[in-house]
Formats: sequence, C-alpha cells, structure tokens
Amino acid sequence: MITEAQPSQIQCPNCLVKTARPRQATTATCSNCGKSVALDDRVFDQRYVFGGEVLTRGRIIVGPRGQVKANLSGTEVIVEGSVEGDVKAVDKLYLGKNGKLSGNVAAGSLVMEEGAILRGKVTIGD
Amino acid sequence: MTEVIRRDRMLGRRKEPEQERLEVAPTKTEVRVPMQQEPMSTILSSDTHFKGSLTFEKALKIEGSFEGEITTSGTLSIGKDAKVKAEIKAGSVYIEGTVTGNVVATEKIELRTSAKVNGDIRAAKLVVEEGAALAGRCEVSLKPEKSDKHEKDNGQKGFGDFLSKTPVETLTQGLK
Repeated sequence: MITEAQPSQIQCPNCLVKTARPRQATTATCSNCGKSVALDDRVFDQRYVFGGEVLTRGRIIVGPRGQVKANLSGTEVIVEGSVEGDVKAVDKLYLGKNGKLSGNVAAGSLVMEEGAILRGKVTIGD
Repeated sequence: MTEVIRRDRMLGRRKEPEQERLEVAPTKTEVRVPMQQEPMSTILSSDTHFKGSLTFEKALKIEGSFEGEITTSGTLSIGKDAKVKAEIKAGSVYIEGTVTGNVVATEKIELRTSAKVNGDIRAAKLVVEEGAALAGRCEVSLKPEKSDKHEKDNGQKGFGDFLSKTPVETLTQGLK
C-alpha cells in the first residue's frame, strides 16, 4: 500500500542522516549506521495500554478508542484518543478535539482543535 | 366616573400582556466572530511601544510592541506584527504575533498560523493552527483553574518525571 505520508527522503532516527528511499518501501536500512528503519503506518484503536516505544517514519494514528502508553516517533502523528508518553513528529502532530496527550512533544508543526488536552513540554517549529 | 375607571382598568389589563410579549422577545444570536471582526475597544497600533503593566476589562488589541505585564479578565489580541514580551494573565488570548513570556488564560488561547510563542502556556482550551511555533511548557485541561499560589508547585509535581527525563535540547536535535 502506498501512503502519502511516507517521505521519499527518510531521516534515520538513530544517526539522523537523510537518505532517499522509494515511496513503496515499508522498511529500509540506513546506509550510514546500518540499522533498519520502519516506514509503515501504525494504527492504535483499541482499549489497551501499550508499553515501550513506537518508532516509524510513517504515520502513527491513535484512534478515538485508542489508549497508548508509549513513546511515539513518526513523520506524522494523529491523536484522537489518549497518549501518555513522549511524542516526536518530524512533520506534523494533529490533536483531535477528544485527543489527550501528556508528555514531551516535539513536532514540525502542530494542529490542535478546541477541547484537546495537552500537558508537557512542547517544542513546535524551528 | 365609575364607568371611566372601569374602562381604564379594562384598557390597563389589556395592555399588560402586550408589554410582556415585548419583553419576552429578545433575540439570542451567538455567532462566532472571526478575530478581525471582534469588537475592539482599544487598539495599541503598530507605532506604539509600551512598557509597564496594563490592565483592562473588555478587549484590547496590541499591534505594536509591548514589554511588561498584562492582567485582564477580558480578551487580549496580539496582532500579526506585534512583539510582546510580557507575563500575560487574561480571560482569553488570540495570538498572531510574537510573544515571549508566560501566558495564562482562564478560558481560551488561540494560536494563529503566524504566531510564535516562547514561554509557558496554561489554559482551559488551546487551539493551534498549522504553522504556529511554540516552545515551552504547556498545560491544557478543562478542569477549573486552581489558585495562583499553587501554580508553580503543580507544574513541578505534575510533570517532574517527564521533564527531567528528556530536555528539550535533545528533542530538537532529533528534529534537525
């Protein structure tokens, strides 16, 4: 499946070196550090608590029923449910009107609707 | 005479319901007005440079530069080219320009596309448009505001664990 969110240029989350990849790829290996980079979308729309870390260069979608307790890192992060953990979005972070997010946030740009809840240190842009 | 009085009473009684009808008919129209069209009682225009503490009740728009302290229960708008360096406490704040300092709103803070905020934000509601830049601690919750005395304590207790883990510098490095 081709997704629009996948960039043709991928920044390795480990060594921060940018490499070009075909849009169809779901995983890639960083040419600099040799680590594998996931490029697929992740969707969480169930009532469970997830531990650890979600790391992809694709999209991360937390649906309205999703309850996630993990650090998220993706190109685009969409939060309609609740997230507890640090969130890093290279491109865009979207917080829907029922979205709840507590943790440190770093994103290229933030869109937040009225009613969304956000607690933590925030760095948007620049 | 008695006939006249009776007529007056009759007429008076007839008039009463009419007056009541007139009173009952106020038009309730709650329309969300965009920022430019909001009624502004005061505007600090682009050639004003203000230093000091500012208090007002209804609405004020800053288009020039401001340095100091703003306290209000009303609406504060900060225009596109405005530069504000202040501790802001307001009912609701609409930001289009550059703000350095902490912003506390009892109701709502809106960050427009061109907004740049450097400081801590605390509000019941926060709306952010795409393109707005924001750096600082953020606390948005629909719970009613607690008294100002506990402000600092709450901030440290609530986010102590998260904040000590990863400083902003490392996060921004990751983005670059």
